[in-house]
Order: sequence, then C-alpha cells, then structure tokens
Amino acid sequence: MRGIIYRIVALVSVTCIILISASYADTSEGEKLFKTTCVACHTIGKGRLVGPDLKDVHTRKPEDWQIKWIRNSTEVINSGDEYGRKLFEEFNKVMMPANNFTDDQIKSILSYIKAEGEKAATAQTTPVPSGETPSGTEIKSDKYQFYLLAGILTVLIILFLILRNVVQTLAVLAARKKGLPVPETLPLGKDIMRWVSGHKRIVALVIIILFAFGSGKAWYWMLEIGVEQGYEPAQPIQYSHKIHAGDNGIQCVYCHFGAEKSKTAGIPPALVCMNCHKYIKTGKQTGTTEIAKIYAALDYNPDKGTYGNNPKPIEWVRVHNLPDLAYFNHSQHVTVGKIACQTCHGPVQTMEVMRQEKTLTMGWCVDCHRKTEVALAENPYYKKLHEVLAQRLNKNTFTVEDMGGTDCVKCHY
Amino acid sequence: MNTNDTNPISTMADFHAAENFIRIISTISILVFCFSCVDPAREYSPDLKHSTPGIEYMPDMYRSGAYEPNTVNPVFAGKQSAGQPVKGTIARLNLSNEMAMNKERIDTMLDELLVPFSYPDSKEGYDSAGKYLKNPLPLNDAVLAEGKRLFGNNCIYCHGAEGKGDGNLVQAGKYAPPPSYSTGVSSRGGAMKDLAPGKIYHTLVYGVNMMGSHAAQLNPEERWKVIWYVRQLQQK
Repeated sequence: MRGIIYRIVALVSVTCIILISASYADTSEGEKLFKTTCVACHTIGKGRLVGPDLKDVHTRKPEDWQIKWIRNSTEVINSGDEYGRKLFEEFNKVMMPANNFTDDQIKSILSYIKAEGEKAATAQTTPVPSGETPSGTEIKSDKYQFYLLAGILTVLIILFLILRNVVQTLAVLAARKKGLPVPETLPLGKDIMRWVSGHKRIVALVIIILFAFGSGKAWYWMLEIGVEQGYEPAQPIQYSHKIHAGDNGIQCVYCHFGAEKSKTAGIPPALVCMNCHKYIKTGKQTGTTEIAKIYAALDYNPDKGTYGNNPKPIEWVRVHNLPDLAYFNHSQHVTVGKIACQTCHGPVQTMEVMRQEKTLTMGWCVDCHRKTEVALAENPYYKKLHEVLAQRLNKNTFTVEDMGGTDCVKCHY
Repeated sequence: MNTNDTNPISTMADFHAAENFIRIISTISILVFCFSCVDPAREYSPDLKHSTPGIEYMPDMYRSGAYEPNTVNPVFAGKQSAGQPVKGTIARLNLSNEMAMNKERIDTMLDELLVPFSYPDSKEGYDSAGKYLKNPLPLNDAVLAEGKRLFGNNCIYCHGAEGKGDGNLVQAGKYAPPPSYSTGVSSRGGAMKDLAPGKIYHTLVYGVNMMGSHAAQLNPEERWKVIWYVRQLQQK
C-alpha cells in the first residue's frame, strides 16, 4: 500500500516538474525570440512603435492566421486578406520582414506576449510611489534654518523689551517704597543714546570693526559682479545630464554637435531627443511627464507616431554665458585645441541639474592659456604653422601664450 | 578770549586727530586686504549655488544686441534664432582639413557633395539611392579613422563597437537591438552585409524603424566617412 502511494506521489511530482519546466522553457524561448526580433518594432502594452502594440494580440485573430502572418506577412497581404491589408495601410505600408520560425517557435512567442500582456495589466493597477527630488529637500532645509533663526531673534527682542519694562517698573516701585526720588523712565532711543555717550571708545571700536568687515564683504560682493559661478537655473524640462551622459555614456557631441564645427555648441533640436525618445516613452525618475514635454514641443502624437504642424520650441535657460565683449569659438577649442568639454564645463556627466562650475572670468581664461601646451600632434592643417612657430620660439613644445594667446585682441575686438 | 591764545592748542588737537585718522585708515586698509583675497580659478562648491544670473555691470556689453544662435528671437516664428534652412537650399560645405588638402579630388568631390539629396523617404527612394548614390570620398586611413571616431560619437550606443547590434544601451535593455551589420537581415530586404553605401546613406538621412534621422548631427562629408567605416564592419 505504502509503495503505491510513494509511486503515485513520485509520478505526480515528476510530471509536475516536467510540465512546469516545459512551460518555463516555452516562455523563455519565446522571450528570447521576442527580445531579439520583435522588440525593434513592437511593444507589449507600451503603445505602438513601427508596428502595433501586441498586448492581447491573441484575441485579435486565430492562432493559425497569426502563424502565417508572422512567418510571411507579404504573402498574407498579397493573398487578399482584408485584415492584413488594413494593418499594412494603417502602419504606413511598412512591411514586417519574413521570419523563418517553426510553428512551435511562433507559438512560444505568442504565449510570451500573452503572459507579458497579463503582467502589464496587473502592474497598471498598482500605483508606483513617486520619490521626492533630493534638490527640493535641500532647499527646504535651508529655508527652515533661516525661519528658525529669524524666529529666535524676534523672541529674544520681545523678551528684552519686556524685561526692560519690568526692571524699570521694579526700580520705580522700590524707590517709592524707600521714599527715594523716583528715577525718570527714558524712552528706548534716548536710553541707548545715553549709554553710547558714556562708552565712546567701545562704540568707536565696534564701528571700525563693522566698517572693516562691511568693506571686506562689499569688496567680495563687487568681485562677484558678472561672475556667475554656481548658476543653476530651473529648466523647462528636468533634463538630467547624469542619466544621459553619465549612466548611458552618450557623448556630449551627439546632442551638442555644433561644438566641433561652429562657434556655438548649440542647443540640440528636439528631433535629436526623438532619436531615442520615439522608443523610450517613460523616464526613470520622472515617468512620462518630462518626456511628454518633448512631444508637446514637437506636436508629436506618441500613440499614432505622427507629427502635427504646431510645434512650440522649448525655451531652455542659458547657463554658460561669456560676455559679448569677449569672442569665444567652440570649434577652435574642441577640434583644433582638443580640449575636453569638462575642462570648462566641469563634470557635467555627474550633474542632475546643469550648473556653471567654473568662474569664466578673464583671469581664468588667461590662466589656462598660459598653462596649456598647444596640441601639435594630429593637427595636420596647422602643421606648417606649428613648425614655423617652433623654430621662431626655439622650443619643441609651446603654450598658447607663446603664440599670442594672451594678447588683448585675441578675444576682444 | 584772544584768538591768538587758542591757536597753538587747536593745532595740537588737529595734529592728534590727523594721526588718529591715519591710524584708523591704515587699520581698515589692512583688514580689507586680508578679507579680499579671491581666487579667479576657485573650485565650485554647493554654497555658490544660485538660481538667478546675478548682477552684471553694464549688461549692454554682456548681452549681445544682435540675435545670437541660442537666444530668443521675436522676429521669427517660434521665436527661434537658429531655424531650419529654407527648403530647397543647400548648405555651403566646410570641407574638413584632410579633404581640403586633397587637391586632386577636391573639384569632383565638391560636385558630388554639393548635389542636393533628392531621394524621397520611401521604399523607391531607398532602392534608387542604393543604385545610383556612390561614396564620393576616397578610402584611406585618415577617412577610416575619422569615420571610426564619428561612429563612436553617434552610432555605438545601439550598434555596438563592432556593429553587432550590441551597444551599451541595448545591453542595458534600454533600447531595441538593431540588426548586426555582418550577420543580420535588413527589414527592407537583403542581408545587412550586402547593403549598398547609398542605402546606408538614405537610412542615415531619414532613419528607419526605431533609428531616427541623423542628418542634423552629420553633414554629408561626415556621413560618407561613417559609411566607409560601416563598410568595414559589414565584413567582420
């Protein structure tokens, strides 16, 4: 009896394991095929790309039609299938390439799509908690500190005035009780003036220290005029250089392609954003809100994949601004001088919000021109000039200053 | 009282006052000097963070009166200074150093590079571009090196260093994998390794499927350089 039960249990568990592993293997093969072949044009529950969204695709047509369609959609369309032709027309007549899959492979892909579609449906019902941005809390704590200090100061002043009144009243009462002449109570201003005329040396010292300190501060303040180091304005779109240039390793010149070729590095046109965000519709930190601003700027409809004719350019706030009285050319520094972007802009790939890292003062420019050696290697256009300069200066390597990089007219003309 | 009597006393008082005045001034100057050492190349610190540009002395000399490429321009539609080129115009080429020095070929190259790209964004345009469009640049090490650099700046994120469709964004699961240059199949028919330069050029200009247009980032000369490099990857 026991033996029979053992056998039954063993049999059941073995079949279970086989079934589970078989179904597991099934979806994982489908997943692999989907992620290598289909994902370039289709999503499951994330809207249309080149082809339709495949969520609940199993409800649209029977499986044998699906298999024929996936293997060779051109044949299906040419055979006069109405549904197929409608799809072809709807998706701008882009043909799905033929796929040399077996029936089982296609079935595994379809079961993967079905499972993913159900997962997406359940995921939609559970809301994702949104995190607070770290910069926001920082600003808040700064403000709290200020309000706390101001509050304490007000309380102390009120306390001082109350105590002063109490002391004066007590003095009057004590004098009356003892029968002494009642001391006159002065208003606050006159009281302070009397103390001042009695302690001229202390007052003079305090004034001198305050004056020195104040003029030091004023001197500092005047040096800050026109120096915008630390300028970190709020931008119309919360674009993170850290995610794009840091985490994803996208080169600066992919978007700021003007830097190599022209005076200005340029603000990338929103169509450059679309090179990736046609596909990536939700951001890691901000979800769909910020990416939707790109779509709005281009009048792009992400559901249909079409552009309207009412675009509104994004008004980015300029961070780095050399005064107009100084000439600066990006291509001269990036292409000819071979200076890394980070030399002047700081570690942009680590910045969540773009800021001005350097002072951008004239002293800072000239300092670099004095220290930086001219990039002689791989600069064939200037080869002859460099040879002549090396001969004239009698040096193998020379700095930017040596060839006139600190002359006034180099930048001011 | 006689004015003559008071004179010596008042001059002594004046002298002391002047002496004190000099002392005070010199103390202040020393203090100001100590407080005012500011380094123009000072490092950034979060204390310097501020969200408004701050004060500018004579802003007329800071902000250009003329409209600059990045500034708001009320004259044009959309308030953009840097707009799209007028339809039907061709940008004047600034040939790169290597090309400009290649005196023998420069005339024919200029002719070829200055022809407007007239193939439409359609299957027919794609096919005829593959048939008639030829790479005007000569194949040499300089072109290949520059092509590799441009490929690294623009294409590598999805297509990968070897063009196998395994760039860092694809590996991170952030972007759809493009077909491999050497072993993949084109969505518009044929093997990727047989793609003609003209077809690649058409794809660069208009984009295809999930790849967007890169016509803004790369000028004609740069596109052809990238294509020479891609041609090498197709054989790998």
